[in-house]
Amino acid sequence: MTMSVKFQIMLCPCAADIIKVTYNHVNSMRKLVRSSTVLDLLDKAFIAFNKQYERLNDVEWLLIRDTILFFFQDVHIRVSIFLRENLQTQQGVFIVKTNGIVPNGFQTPGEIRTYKRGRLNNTHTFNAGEHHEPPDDKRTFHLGLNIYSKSKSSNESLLSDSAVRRPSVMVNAASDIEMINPDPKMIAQLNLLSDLIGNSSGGDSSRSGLLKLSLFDDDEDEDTGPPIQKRPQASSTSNQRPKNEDITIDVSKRNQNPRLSHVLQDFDFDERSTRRGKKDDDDDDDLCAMMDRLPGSTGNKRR
Amino acid sequence: MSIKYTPAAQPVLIKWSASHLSNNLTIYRPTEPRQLKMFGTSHKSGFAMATVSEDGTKQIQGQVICRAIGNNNTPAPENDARFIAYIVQAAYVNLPVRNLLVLACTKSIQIYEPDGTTHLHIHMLDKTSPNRTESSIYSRGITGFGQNSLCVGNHQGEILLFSIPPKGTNIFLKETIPGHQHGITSLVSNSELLISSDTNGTILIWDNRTMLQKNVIEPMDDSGITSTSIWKNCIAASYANGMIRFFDAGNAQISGSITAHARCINAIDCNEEGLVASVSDDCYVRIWKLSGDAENLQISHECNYHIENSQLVGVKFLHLLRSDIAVSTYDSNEIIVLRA
Repeated sequence: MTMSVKFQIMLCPCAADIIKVTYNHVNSMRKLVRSSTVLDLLDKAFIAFNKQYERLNDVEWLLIRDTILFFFQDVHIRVSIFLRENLQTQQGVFIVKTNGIVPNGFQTPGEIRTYKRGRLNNTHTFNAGEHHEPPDDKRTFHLGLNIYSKSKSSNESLLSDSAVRRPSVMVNAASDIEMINPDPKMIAQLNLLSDLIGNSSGGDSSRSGLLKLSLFDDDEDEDTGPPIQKRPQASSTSNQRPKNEDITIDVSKRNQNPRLSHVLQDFDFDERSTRRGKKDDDDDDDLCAMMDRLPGSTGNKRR
Repeated sequence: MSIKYTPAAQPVLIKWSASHLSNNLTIYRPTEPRQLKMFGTSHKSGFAMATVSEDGTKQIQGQVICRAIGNNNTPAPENDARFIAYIVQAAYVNLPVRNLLVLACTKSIQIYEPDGTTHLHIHMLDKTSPNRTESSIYSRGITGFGQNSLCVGNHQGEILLFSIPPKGTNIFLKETIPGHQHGITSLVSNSELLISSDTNGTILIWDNRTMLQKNVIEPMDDSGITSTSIWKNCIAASYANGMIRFFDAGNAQISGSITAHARCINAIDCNEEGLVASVSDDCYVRIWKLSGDAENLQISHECNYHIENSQLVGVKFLHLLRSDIAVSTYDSNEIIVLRA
């Protein structure tokens, strides 16, 4: 936690962007707050914050940022998500990339101008060593947003873990609702995918839709083409793009049964073994015994 | 690009890491030939320094800790958070009569002998309510001129003028000179002039014998000034929006400007040859060469030096006639020496 605040403060392109980080924090908090009195207090605090800090100039902000950075000096804790996303080195130092778009109010490095009697006389350029672009007001500011909601880590893509991951993904879902515009096509595709694998449970369709959304993003990373190319293996009507939910549900049901029947068969088999009156050996022994009894076929069914 | 730097075999190691402040590197350039050079940076409430031999192999470290002064000007316990002072700027000052180490802190100005061993004077800053937005009381901007005058700026835009005796602790405040509407960020001086800059981007030019204002340079854009330096009659000012601008101290006109860095510039320094070094949060040290004079200035770009993943907070030329520089980094206790 300390390191992520340090990251947000250090990597702010200009010191006044701490306001934007705070805006992101407050917006994320608003989505999580349920009680209206707390929301009211949050809004009042936000208005007071704005009133105090919007009139500071940039060098005054620098002193504020420097004072905050006193607190984080010499803290070099390595955080797994930063290491994974290549934001931090193995020594705990943050990776500072300064090419690309320059902050608001800046000009792209590279020009030398000379003046005579107060008027522009000559302009020539120098090589700044990096590629820079002029400031762009319209880009969303990402520091201060939930770093886990955008994460494409392999942990969250493993479908077998999704049942365990469900609580954390649902927290992300609250803040993800506005960040991702749920395209009905995408929701339908993801519903199909999850149904095929047999993980869909009851519950809110919108929630399960969002659950699949994060999986979908990970799948998109792994495949080079659109996910529809996976479909041919699973369904026979793969040439149809799932335009509305009805079609996809029909398709999936046809294929769901073999999986379920496999699962059921596994259960039957377990009961059979206890009926035969075998002792309760270790799990290992049972597994070996079972595999001995059934030559090959059940072994394939287990994932 | 005609200057190529290589890092010295051994960086200068100090005990504490450098804080993220502007102008956070100061060098004591000895006046007598046999004295050793000292490098220092400020770290939260302390100042860490190293005395280094000419070839860089022998280093002796030292530290100075800011005193915490409580109410009624009595010393307070060091861990009482109400009275902890942070150093905003630290500088070695070479005056003809004496050399000093001045720590401009929040709430006070503290003056020591250059080796940090003896505490000479502490001046508590005025606690009257500050101006429009600055809510903290601090001092910033340190320079010495004349025989025995020391100037330090404060958050209200005033310049405090101290008189320094050749020996002893009888340092006293001679005058408080108002002038700026915003907190002072930097003070530099040469034999005739005192230049002060503030957070709004205004530069005031003073005659340092009479302490009267000679000229005003109004802000050029919305950005404030982080650091200033002076070469001949040319004022170099670095801005928080990555620009460096040069002004003629005689007629207050702009002589040149450079869109130098992609992040806020933390420090600049000039040497007597007309070389200007600038460092920034964008991990670059850039060297520029000035020639001509303020009325007819030529600027050329000499060098880019990139230090990976390092937000650079201070730069100083090691000698006034050579291009070797020393650079300090936030969160690092190494002062990198670059030799041309």
